[in-house]
Parts: sequence; structure tokens; C-alpha cells
Amino acid sequence: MGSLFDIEYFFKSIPTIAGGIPEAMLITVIAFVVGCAIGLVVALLRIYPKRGLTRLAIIYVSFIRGTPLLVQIFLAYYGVPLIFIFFKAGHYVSGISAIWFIYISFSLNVGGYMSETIRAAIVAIPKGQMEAAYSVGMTTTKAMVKIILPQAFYSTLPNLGNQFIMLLKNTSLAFVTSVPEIMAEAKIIAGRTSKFFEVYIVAALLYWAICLVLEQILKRLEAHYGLKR
Amino acid sequence: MIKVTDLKKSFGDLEVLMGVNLTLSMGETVSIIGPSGSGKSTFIRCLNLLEKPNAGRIEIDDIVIEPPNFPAKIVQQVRLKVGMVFQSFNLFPHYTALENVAVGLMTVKGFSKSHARSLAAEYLEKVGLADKLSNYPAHLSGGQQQRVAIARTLAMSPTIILMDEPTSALDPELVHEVLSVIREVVTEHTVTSIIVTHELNFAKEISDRVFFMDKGVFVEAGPPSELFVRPTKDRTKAFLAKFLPNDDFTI
Repeated sequence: MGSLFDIEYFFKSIPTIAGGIPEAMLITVIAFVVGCAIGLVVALLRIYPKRGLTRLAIIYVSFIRGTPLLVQIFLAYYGVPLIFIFFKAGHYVSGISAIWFIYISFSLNVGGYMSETIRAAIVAIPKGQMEAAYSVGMTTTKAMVKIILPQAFYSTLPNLGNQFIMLLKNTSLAFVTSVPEIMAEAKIIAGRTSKFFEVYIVAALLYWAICLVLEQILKRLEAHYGLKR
Repeated sequence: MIKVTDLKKSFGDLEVLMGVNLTLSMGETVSIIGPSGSGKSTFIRCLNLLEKPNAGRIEIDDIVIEPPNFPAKIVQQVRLKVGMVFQSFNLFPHYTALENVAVGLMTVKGFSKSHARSLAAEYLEKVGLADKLSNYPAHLSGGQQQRVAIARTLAMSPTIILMDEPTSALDPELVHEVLSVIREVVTEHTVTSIIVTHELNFAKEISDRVFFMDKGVFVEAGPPSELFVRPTKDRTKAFLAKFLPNDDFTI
């Protein structure tokens, strides 16, 4: 019987598993940016209701929050091709990389959660801010862009950071579509050697390390923007 | 010119304004006094449409507002003409004093950044804050914040300025600096000013006319020399007696 923990293999597997970091970061950044955009639109629809669209937005948020991300990934993975086939474009499906289904499902997922974060941040800005913007002649749109959203952004920065970190860790679920991110890389080599524990410890430490870096960046951002208020 | 006819406003079942009438000519300075909850603030907030009146009519120069229609274009025109100074200053906390004044000039009037900033600096100098241009509101006293707010309003060159209890949120020792800035603004007589205030002595000093509001209507109006000295209505007398206990206004 060999040793309980193969330290040599542990170190050897780091480069391979770390090879999944760029993919994980890419998913995180894309889903975060697109998710913020979706979240903003949905938040605004709930603050300034537009009949049918607002109802749709409410159902969307409820669905995203009420179903597991893993299920949403599968729905995108198997559902989006159906949409292509429905529009008689089925022959394109095989050319689409699995990563796109991950971008779609993650963006929609982030958008759903983000909408509530953004809505809360906007609603928390004192009423007098909008009134002051109106009183110098700004339209609602200009006031939103120049006055309300920047303040909402600064105040909700810690929440955004939290969501970013959660999202990064959630990218580990993308392995189910065989997108080569950290977890997928780990699973592949673990399957080959059966040294599961060594490999998953590497994965865990990599996630942790990235999150530590992100936390530091966030701390700086908060300190920077916190000074103004 | 401002002409308000039979203006009514209610919040749900609560009737706040019950038919307010008022006519002002250009350059006039008037104060509105009265007990809390009498509708003073609601009334001036209706004048720049931060509150939408339910009925009546407002004419500001050639602009006519007739509830319940408030076309976006009209609202915009009104707000370009009518500036407002708030009780709680409402400065934009993420902008410096200079940016607070400049942001409207850039986004609303379309001035270039450099033009807006130099103009903003001029107005801040006018209210005695030339050395505070790059301070954020959090680093200014209440009195300084309100002066920035006044500069922000003046910079948009409105023809009418509304002031909603501009000194009520200030520490007593800071009231003076704000009042002296307001005094300067109204004595230039280039704007029409409507000031809601509890500073009766100040109202007396600077107003061309004083309006006493109670329960959603103007009970009595007149030059301060008359309204404060010889009020004709019982409600006015009772109110003034509470505020100016030493003034002898009985005949």
C-alpha cells in the first residue's frame, strides 16, 4: 500500500489543473459583465414598470432564484440546440462550442441575482438625489446615469464583489459540459490516476488563491471609492 | 411672471393644497410662512413639478401647466426655468463641490467640461467657497453644503428660485452664513424668489411680500410691514404670536 498522500503527484498536477484558470476567469468575467447588464435592465423594469415586460422580468428572477444553477446549465445545454432546430437551423448546432451554453446559462443566472442587488442599491439612494437632479433640469435617464447609478455602484461594491467571487467558484459546475476549466481539468487527470484527493486539493487551493487575490483587489476598490463619501 | 390658479394637491385621502392662488411679477422676493403641515413645501414643490398637482393651473411666463397633463417637454421647460434649494441640501455625494455645480451645466446645458468648470468656480466664489472647490460634500459643513447647493442652482441661471426651508437643517451658528448668501441673491433682483421659511425676522427683512399659509390655502398676504405688524386674520395673529412674542402687532 502506497502513502496516503502522494505529495509528488500533488505538485506535478498543479500546472495541468492551473491550465483551467484562464477558462474559469473568462467565464467569470463574461458572465459578470453580461449579467450586470441584464441585472440593470431588469432592475430598472421593476423600478419603472413597463406592463408585460415587468411581469416577464419578475418571472425570470423567480425562476433563476428558484432553480439550481446546475439544472440551468443543462437546460441551456440541451435547450438552446432545440431552439436552433425549431428555427430550422439545426445544422449550426454541432458547430457551437459547449462554452457558449455556459456563457448563456451563467450570464442569465448572474443577471437574475444581480437584478435584485442593483434594485436594492438604486432604491436605497435617498429620494432627494433624484429630486436635486430633476431640479437642475436633468431627465430621468441623465439623472440615472450621472447621479443615481454611480452612487448605487459605490454603495453596492461589496455585494458585487461577493457575487463575483461566488460566480468564480460556481464556474466549477461548467465541467458537466466538458468545458476545460479548473474542475474539468482536475476530473480528467483524477480519472486517469485515481489520485482523487491530491487532485481536488490542488483545485481547492487554486480557487482559494484566486479568491484571496480578488478579495485584495476588492478591498482596494472599496477603499478608493469609499474615500469620496 | 408666475400665476397660480386654484391649485389643488392631495396625497391619497389627505388634501394638502385646497385651492391656492398666487401671482408674482418678475424679480419679486416672497416668503411663505405658516405652521408645519400647512402645505408650504408641497406648494413650492408643485411649482417645479416635483409634485404633480391634481387640479388648477400654473403659468410660468409662457408655459402653461394644466393637470392632469404633464408632458415631458413641458416638465423639462419648467425645470430649466425654476431652480430649487432644498432643506437637506441634496448635494451629490460622489462629486466635489465644483463637480456638483458643473454637472448640470454639462449634462443639461451641454457646456464643455472646461467651460462648465470655470463657470462653476465663479459661482462657488460668489457664495464664498473659492477655497473648497475640490471638497466632497462629506467634508463640508452644513452651511457650506447649502451654499454649494445655492451655487448649483444659480449656475443653471433660472428665472425663478424656490427655497424649501433652506436653513432648517442647519446648526444655529451656521444659519447666518447661508442667510447672507440668500440675501445677496435676492437683492440682486435678477431672479424671482419664493422662500419657505421659519426665519420670520429674515422673511421680514428681505421679502417684498409675505404669504401666510394654513391648512392648504393662503390665509393672508402682504408686505412684511403690514403682515407682521397688522395682521387682519385671527389665524395669522395666532401664528405670529407664537413666533414673535415680543413684537407688538395688536392695534
